[in-house]
Amino acid sequence: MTSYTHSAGRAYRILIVDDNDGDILLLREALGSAGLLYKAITFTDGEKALRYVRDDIDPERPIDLVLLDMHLTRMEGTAILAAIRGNTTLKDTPVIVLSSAISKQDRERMGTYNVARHLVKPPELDEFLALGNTVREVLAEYSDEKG
Amino acid sequence: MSTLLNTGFSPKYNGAAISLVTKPPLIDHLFHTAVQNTELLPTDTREQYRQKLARITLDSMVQFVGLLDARGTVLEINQFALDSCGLQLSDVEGKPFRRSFWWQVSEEINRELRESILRAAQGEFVRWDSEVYTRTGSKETMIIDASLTPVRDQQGNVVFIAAEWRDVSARRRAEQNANLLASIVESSEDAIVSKRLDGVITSWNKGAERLFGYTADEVIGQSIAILIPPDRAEEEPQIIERLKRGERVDHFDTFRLRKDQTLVNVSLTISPVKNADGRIVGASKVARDITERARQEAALRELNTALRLANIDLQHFAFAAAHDLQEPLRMVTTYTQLLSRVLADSLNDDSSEYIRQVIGGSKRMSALLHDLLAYTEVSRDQDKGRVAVNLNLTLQAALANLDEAIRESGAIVQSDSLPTVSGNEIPLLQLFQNLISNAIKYRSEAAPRVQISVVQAGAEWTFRFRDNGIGIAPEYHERVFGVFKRLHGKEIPGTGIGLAICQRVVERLGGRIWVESEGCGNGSAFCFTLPAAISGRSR
Repeated sequence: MTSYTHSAGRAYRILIVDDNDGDILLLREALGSAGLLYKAITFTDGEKALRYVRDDIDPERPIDLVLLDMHLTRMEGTAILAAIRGNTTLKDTPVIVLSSAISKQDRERMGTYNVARHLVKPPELDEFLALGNTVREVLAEYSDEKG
Repeated sequence: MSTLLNTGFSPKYNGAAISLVTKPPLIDHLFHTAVQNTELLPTDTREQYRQKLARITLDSMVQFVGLLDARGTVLEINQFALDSCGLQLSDVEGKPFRRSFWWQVSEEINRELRESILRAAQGEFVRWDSEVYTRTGSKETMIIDASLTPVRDQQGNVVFIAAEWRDVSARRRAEQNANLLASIVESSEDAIVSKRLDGVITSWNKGAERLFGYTADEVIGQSIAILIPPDRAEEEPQIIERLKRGERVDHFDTFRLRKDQTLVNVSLTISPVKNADGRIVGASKVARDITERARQEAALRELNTALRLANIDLQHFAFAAAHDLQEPLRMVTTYTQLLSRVLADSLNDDSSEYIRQVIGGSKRMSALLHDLLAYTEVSRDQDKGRVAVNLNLTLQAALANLDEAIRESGAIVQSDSLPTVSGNEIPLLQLFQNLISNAIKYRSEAAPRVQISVVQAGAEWTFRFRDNGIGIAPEYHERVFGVFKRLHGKEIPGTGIGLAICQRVVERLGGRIWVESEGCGNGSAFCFTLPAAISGRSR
């Protein structure tokens, strides 16, 4: 199986924020099954994720992609999204927003944050695993833009 | 006719002799004038002249005047009495007065009359009121104020009885009416008060005593201002202004002050009172204690708000439940799938079947939750306010959404031209789509046909979706609209929410929905009504 790495030859650094660790596990399965070589930084707690984005991003070791659950416990994903866009290192980082259902209102709010994809978490295993391919596509799109 | 007065008899009245002296001058021009059968002649002596004037006076009076002897026999009676009773002098002259030829009277009145004559004959002045039937027209009664005055001779013996009576029906009846009205006012539960335009209280009924705590004696003559709470002082001048313009103030809800300085919630109706010239001189005020009513209204409002909030809560709950339950269910489904994939090599037929059951069950539950969500969303959509919806466009959209099912089944859908109704686009689309898709889903052997027709009856449209499908037995006609109620097993997929959504859509728009079917194999017709708020069919 082909494995995909960053153009610098290193593993992709992917930030995953989701209060459901079942979904984090599934996302890792998906990333793995897409052949991505990656290092995941995961948060199930929105507050901690927010602090990490605000204070602990190392410009030397940037984040390549964010997988963000829209509806976190005690917090909306948009708060984290706003923090990401407000961080100089992360301001252009691709973000894939996931939610269990997307309302019209959600979609309108996403528009202002330059979100790479806004997807519903699929109820079928195969479809869920296919999210890994979507991540690969997005990574490719963004490296093309940079290159 | 003046036989008695011509007898030359000179009665004493109250003991004083009536003296007749000389003929007065300056009235010669009246001679040869006949008045009421009495002719004045130049040859009349002073005495004759005075007698004739007395005759004329008597006959011109608008009251009954007569003279009886001490036994009560009629000696003389004036013309007015005769005319009023439709009698001739000959009918009564020389006959006992108490005989009921004047009016039709009851036994009681007869007795009263007899006794009065006896008392007068013994020297007593007698005066009484009597209600009698007029001789003409037996149903009509007249109230008379009658009196009998004894007339004595010089020895003091009663020799005559002067009888007088006057029709006082109009005045007595007005009094009775006034008394009746006064007693109605007095017994009213409401406070009824009258006041002058300067605010001085002029009457005060028992209801007012009860409501405000003041007795009539305490407040009549006082200003109405004692009832007005200081913070409502501006109300009275405004009311007076309206009254002066002749306007009535109806059901004015406000507060008034009781004697004990507590407030009472009242509804006031105030009308101008006019005098005989039509000038507004005051006001009558009816005050009703609405404390209880206001309390009940407030309680009802509170209850309504609570109910509305509970309803919204319930909707939110249903929405959240359906929404949030999806999440763990998705975990069950996907992880069971993952597990079956990882364990693929070690599973046997039995364990594979178990896993299939887990996945099947959770998928089915997911479908139910999905539809439950759709059901609650109908309410959310319909709460947004109504617009004019052209149902021809709704039908087109429904057919487009069902395109695949229609092509696969070879269904034919025909429709009348449909009206524009007041409603919500998405729920109405769901209604059409569900009814058509049901007709296709529950089809018989033949290719499904759906005929949509509409008629207007009064203020509503009645729609009919007639199909040639498997039909529904009459005993299930009610049940098919229940949430998650299904008549079929797994052979026809579905969660049983479709018709429940249809019913909710229709009922929330003020319509009714029902099914007509003669049973299995005869097809069915789903019918519903919608208010014809916007009339006319779309072209």
